[in-house]
Amino acid sequence: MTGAYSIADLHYAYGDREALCGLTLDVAPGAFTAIVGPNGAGKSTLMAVLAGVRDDYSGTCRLDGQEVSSWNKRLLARRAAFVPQSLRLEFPFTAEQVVFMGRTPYCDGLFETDEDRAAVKRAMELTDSACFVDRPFRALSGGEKQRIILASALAQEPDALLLDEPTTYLDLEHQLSLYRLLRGVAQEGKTVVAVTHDLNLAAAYADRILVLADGRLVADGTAEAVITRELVKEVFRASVTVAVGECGRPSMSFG
Amino acid sequence: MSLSRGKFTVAIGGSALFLLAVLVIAPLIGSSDATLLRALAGESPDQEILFDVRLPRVLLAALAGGALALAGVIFQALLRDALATPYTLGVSNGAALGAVVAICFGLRTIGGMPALWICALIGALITMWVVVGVATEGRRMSSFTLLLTGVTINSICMAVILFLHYSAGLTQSFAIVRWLMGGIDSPEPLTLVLLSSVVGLSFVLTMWKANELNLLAVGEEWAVTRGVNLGPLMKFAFLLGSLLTAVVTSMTGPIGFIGLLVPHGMRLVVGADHRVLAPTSFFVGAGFLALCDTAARTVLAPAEIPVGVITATLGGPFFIWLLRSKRASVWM
Repeated sequence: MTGAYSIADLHYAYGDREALCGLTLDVAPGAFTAIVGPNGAGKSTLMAVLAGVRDDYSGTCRLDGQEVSSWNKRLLARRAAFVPQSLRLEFPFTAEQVVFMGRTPYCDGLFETDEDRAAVKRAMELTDSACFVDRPFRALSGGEKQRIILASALAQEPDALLLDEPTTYLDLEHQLSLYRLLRGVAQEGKTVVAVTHDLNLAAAYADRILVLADGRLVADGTAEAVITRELVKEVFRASVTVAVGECGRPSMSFG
Repeated sequence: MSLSRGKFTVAIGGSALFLLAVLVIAPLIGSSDATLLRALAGESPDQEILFDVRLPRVLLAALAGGALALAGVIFQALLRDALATPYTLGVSNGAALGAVVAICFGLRTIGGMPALWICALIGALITMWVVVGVATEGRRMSSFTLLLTGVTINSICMAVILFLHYSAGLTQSFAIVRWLMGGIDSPEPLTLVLLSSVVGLSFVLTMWKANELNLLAVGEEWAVTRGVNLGPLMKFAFLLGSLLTAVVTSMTGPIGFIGLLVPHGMRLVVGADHRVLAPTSFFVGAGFLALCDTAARTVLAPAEIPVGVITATLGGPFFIWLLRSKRASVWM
């Protein structure tokens, strides 16, 4: 099994401000892990460290036994793919070109191979985005862009899929299908880690929920164990009622 | 990105054919009526006019136009800024400062080469070194710092140029103004060989990195998570674009329009993929400047119009037409 993260005493600071203050946790393949927490908790920073974007961290963050900062970027990009919150393009790339960019870590010459084309086709079908192949990326709606970005990450054929608030721009139908897709990817034996603000969706689909606050891990476990009235009050300072739904997962209601 | 060999060949072949046509036709046009037949028969002065004066000048214009368009493509990707030009990051004003110093101190030749070129090249290389030094922090390089550093260095060089210009005599002052307008002269064969080897090598290096330039043009985080070693790639792109700008600007002075609008024009026609965008911009930029320089030396012959005047007046309206007719395909 590849795509396993092992994190110990992980720190990351922006100048004087510490965003991550000594995280220790393991992320195993085959599970869908959701990271939740209030604004400024360090969620996006953690994703950026896992993805190799911020490799000037201190402490340990290993992917399959090797420090993320010492991975060759090209090999890392075949192992772990990152889906950013959004993407603003200055130039008129088409949707399909953006998806094909996910194949760059496999590309040796100037042209794509049949294998690349097959991976891109699969990724676009999985994300229900094959219909806007030739449209300019900038002309797509927020949700359509999000699906293209996800397709580009899937085209990398990674062992670990890392997503930073992937449902921000999606309508309800596509939010649900994204979460189903992520659960399916995890069931294939891959690592899926997603930052989200939607506790209900996280509770309904994730195998494991990590709660971050002030750069520290404050809760870690299944939805039933983590999503409780007390925790939501303590971490998010919000009063909610938590009920257990038909599928046995907790769900919150407000007011 | 879903680039088929067929589409690639058509785009590159088409733009290369345009350049070839210009290279064949432009030397035949001029104020004196030299003909190709007489030149090929070795008759004087037709042979000298065509092969020793016009052809080298056309070749220099083509190399300069291609290099400026390529540098524009590279800088626009590096800075993710549609308004970036070869002159954005300070190199051209560094070259201008070098040239102005040479003019003010009355330097003629250095080591057998024109002092103007040598000083301009030295000025450009110094600014490159300063900009890259300021914008690099460890292994990282920030495109934002790069942009601001470049713009600042541009302003400082311009201030010194203005001061030197202000204190110069009338003849020097005219020479400075003429240099700053930009223009193309007939070069020595050796100069052409040196220039074409630098430009040719840069072209190959750009094609080698074209896939990574695509990622860089989208975003830094995007590029890193798709396997790019960001610091080295940014430094590489900066040095490559700057070197192209430096060698060209030191020989021709600043020539506007090409580096900004040829890449945009080509994006409207072939799209944003750098594997096609870079080479087609190079060939079209080359053909376009060679055409403009032909117009510059013939329209008001025997007087010459600064070629920068022609590039913008010929290219501007064409670009606006292209923008209006292709806008829909870019945005919708």
